[in-house]
Amino acid sequence: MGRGADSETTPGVGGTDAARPGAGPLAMAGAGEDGLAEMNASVPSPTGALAVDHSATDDLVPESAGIGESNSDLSASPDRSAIDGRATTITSATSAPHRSRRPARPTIALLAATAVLLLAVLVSSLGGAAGLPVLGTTEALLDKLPFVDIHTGLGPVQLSVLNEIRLPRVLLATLVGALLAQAGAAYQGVFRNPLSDSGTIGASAGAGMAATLVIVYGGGPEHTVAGIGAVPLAAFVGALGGVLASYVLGTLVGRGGTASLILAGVAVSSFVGAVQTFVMQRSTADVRQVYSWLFGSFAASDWSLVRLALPYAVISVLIVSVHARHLDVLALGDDEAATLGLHPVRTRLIVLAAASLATATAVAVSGIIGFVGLVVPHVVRRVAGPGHRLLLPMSLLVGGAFLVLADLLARTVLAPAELPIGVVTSFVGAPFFLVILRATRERDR
Amino acid sequence: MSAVKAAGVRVTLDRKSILRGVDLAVASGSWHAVLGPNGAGKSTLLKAIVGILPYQGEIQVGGEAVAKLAAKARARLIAYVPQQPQLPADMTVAEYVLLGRTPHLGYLGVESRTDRAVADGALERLDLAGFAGRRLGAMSGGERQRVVLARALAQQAGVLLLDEPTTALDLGHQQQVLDLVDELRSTEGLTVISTLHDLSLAAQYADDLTLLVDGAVVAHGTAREVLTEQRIAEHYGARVRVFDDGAGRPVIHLVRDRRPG
Ligand SMILES: Nc1ncnc2c1ncn2[C@@H]1O[C@H](COP(=O)(O)OP(=O)(O)O)[C@@H](O)[C@H]1O
Ligand SMILES: [Mg+2]
Repeated sequence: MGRGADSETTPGVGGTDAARPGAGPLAMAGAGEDGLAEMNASVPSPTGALAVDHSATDDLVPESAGIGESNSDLSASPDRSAIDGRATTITSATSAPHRSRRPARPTIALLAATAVLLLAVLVSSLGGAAGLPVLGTTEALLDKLPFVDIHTGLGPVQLSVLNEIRLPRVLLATLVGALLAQAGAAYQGVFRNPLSDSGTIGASAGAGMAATLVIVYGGGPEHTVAGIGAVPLAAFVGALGGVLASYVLGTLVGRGGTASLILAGVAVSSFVGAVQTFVMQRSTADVRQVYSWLFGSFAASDWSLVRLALPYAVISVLIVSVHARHLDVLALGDDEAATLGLHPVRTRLIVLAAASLATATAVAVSGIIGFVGLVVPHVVRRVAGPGHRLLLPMSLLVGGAFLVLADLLARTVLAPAELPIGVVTSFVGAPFFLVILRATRERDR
Repeated sequence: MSAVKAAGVRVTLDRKSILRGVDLAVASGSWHAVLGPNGAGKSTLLKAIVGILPYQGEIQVGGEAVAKLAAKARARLIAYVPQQPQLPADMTVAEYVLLGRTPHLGYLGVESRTDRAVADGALERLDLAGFAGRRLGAMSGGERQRVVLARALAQQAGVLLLDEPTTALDLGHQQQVLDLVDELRSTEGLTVISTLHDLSLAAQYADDLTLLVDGAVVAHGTAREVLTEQRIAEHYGARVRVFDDGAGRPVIHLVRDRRPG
C-alpha cells in the first residue's frame, strides 16, 4: 500500500496520537504498526513498501462461484410425494401448540458466532509487529469489560501498543466487516437477488470516484473538513450518491422493479468507473494513492475513526435489524407482501437507505473492501437459513470476525509491509467460499 | 359478515381499460367463481379486490369500503393466493405459514404464542404438520398449493381470494385442493372468490358464478343459469354440450367438429 515509504517521510507520529485529523485510509502518516518503530526498537523501520499490483484488480471480482443457484429451484418440482391430504383431520385451528420449531438452534448459532468473533479479536490483538504476551493481552482485554478489574502484566509500552494501535484497528475492522456483511444481506433481501452487494448498486463506485476526485484535485487526504478527513467524507457522500443515482435511474427507466434497479446500478458503476479511470489517467502521480484506497486498508485506524464510524454504524444496524421480518415478507414478492399488509416500496426504501449508510460509513473509514458483503451473508445463509432475524445478526458477527482475521493476515504476511485488505479478502475468501459451497451442496437439492 | 360487494369497478393499466365497470355481489360464507376467457380480466378483478391494483368504483367487505382501510387492516379482512405464489426455496414450511400472521403483528414483527398456535393450527388443518421443517423447494405441486392455503388460512381473514388454484395440478390434486377449500369455507365460515378456467369444476363447487368477458360482466347467477351452450359458444368460441350431472349441476363437454371438410 505504499504506507511504509510514506511513514519514512513522515516519521514519528506515534500511535498514541489519537487527535490526528483527517485520518482516512489514505492518511499514511505513522499509521498503524508503522508507528511501532518508535516505541519498540526491536522492530526494524519499515522499508519495502508494497506497491499495489494492478493485476490484482482481476481477483477482486468475487462473483465467480455459483451464487445464483439458491433461487433456481423455485419452480414447482413434479409431484413425487404420494402423501395426500384427502382425509383432512378435523382438528380445531386453535389446537394446542405443537412442535415449536427448532427453538435452540438460533441461540446456539448466535453464541457460536459471538465466540468466534471474540476469539478473532483476541488473536488479532496478539498478532503484529510487536509481540504481545497471550495471557497479559487477554487480561487487558477482559479488564476493559464493565465490572471486570484485572491487573495485567503488560508494561506501559505494551499497553500503549494494545490500546492505541491494535485495539482501534481491530475494532474498526470488526465494525467495517459487520457493516459490510449486514448491508450485503440487506441489499440481497431488498432486491431478492443473492448477487446484490454494495458493488452492484453503485455504492462502491460512487465512493471510489468521489475519493479519487478528492485525492487528485481536492488536496488529498491531508485536507480536512470540520475535522473530518476530506477523503472519508467524499467517500461517504459518493457512496450515498451512487445508490441514489442508481435508484432514481432505475425508477425513471424501468418501473422501479428490482431488476431495473440492479441494471441501473451496473450502468452507474461502469459510467462512474470510466470517469474515475479518466481522472487517474490524467494524473498518474496520484494513481498509487488512489489504488491503495480502492483496495481498502486499516493501516490508518485510530480511535478518532472508530468514533467517527460508530454513530452511523449504530443507526444503520438498528434500522436494518428492525426490518428483519419485513425482509422475510418481501421474499414473497411485492404483490404478496402487499396483501399481507406490508408497504413494499416504503420498506425497500428504508432498508436501502440504512444499508447504504452502513456501506458509506465502512467505505469512508477503510476504503473499498469487496467480497465481504457478498460472501458472508451467503455463507451464513447456508448455515442459518434464509430468515433475516437470524441472518442479519449472524452476518454482523461473522462479517466482523472475517474482516478482523483478514486484516491480521494483511498486516502480518508480508510484515513490516502490508497487503491491501481487499486483496486478502478475495485471495482467502474466494477459496474459502468455494469450500463452503461444496460442503453445503446438498442444501441445494 | 364477510359479504363482498363490488360496484362499477374500473381498472386501467397502461392507458388500456382492463375492467370496465364490474359489479359483483358475494354472499357471506359462499363460494363465488369468476369465469371468462383468457385475458378477460379475472386476475385483475381479484387484484383490485385485494388492493394491489388501483381502481375506480367501490369495493366493500362486510359493508366497509376497503379502499379507505390501511394495508394491515385490509390484510386482516382479505387473504389472497395468486396464480403463481412465490415460494422461497430455502424457507421452511413452518416459517412460510407463519408469514400469514404478518397483518396481526406490530412493526417489529414479533410473533406471540397465539400467532404460533394459529400457524400450527393451519398446518395441522391442511395435514402439513409433518412437513413443518421441510424446505419449500422440496415440496411437490400439490403440497405447495396446500402450503399456500395454510398461509392464507393463518391470516384469519374472512374472505379468501384464489386465482386459478388448480392450474398446475393433476386431476386428483385438483379435486383434493378444491375439496379442502370447500371444507374450510364451511367449517371456518370463509367467503371464497376464485377464478377457475375449468367450467365444470366451477359448476361443481361454486354457489354463484360471474362470467367476465373483455372486462365486463356478461352473466351472473347459478351455474345452470350462467353456463349455457349458447353463451359458452358465443364468448369462448367453443363448441360444447352441456349435460346435467344428476345433481342439478351442469357438466360441460367439448365436442369435435364433425362437419365434413
Ligand atoms: N400490468 C398490466 N399492464 C397492462 N395490461 C395488463 C397488465 N396486466 C394485465 N394486463 C392485461 O389485462 C387483461 C386482463 O388480464 P388478466 O386479468 O390477467 O386476465 P385473466 O386473468 O382473465 O386471464 C389482459 O389483456 C392483459 O394483457
Ligand atoms: Mg388470470
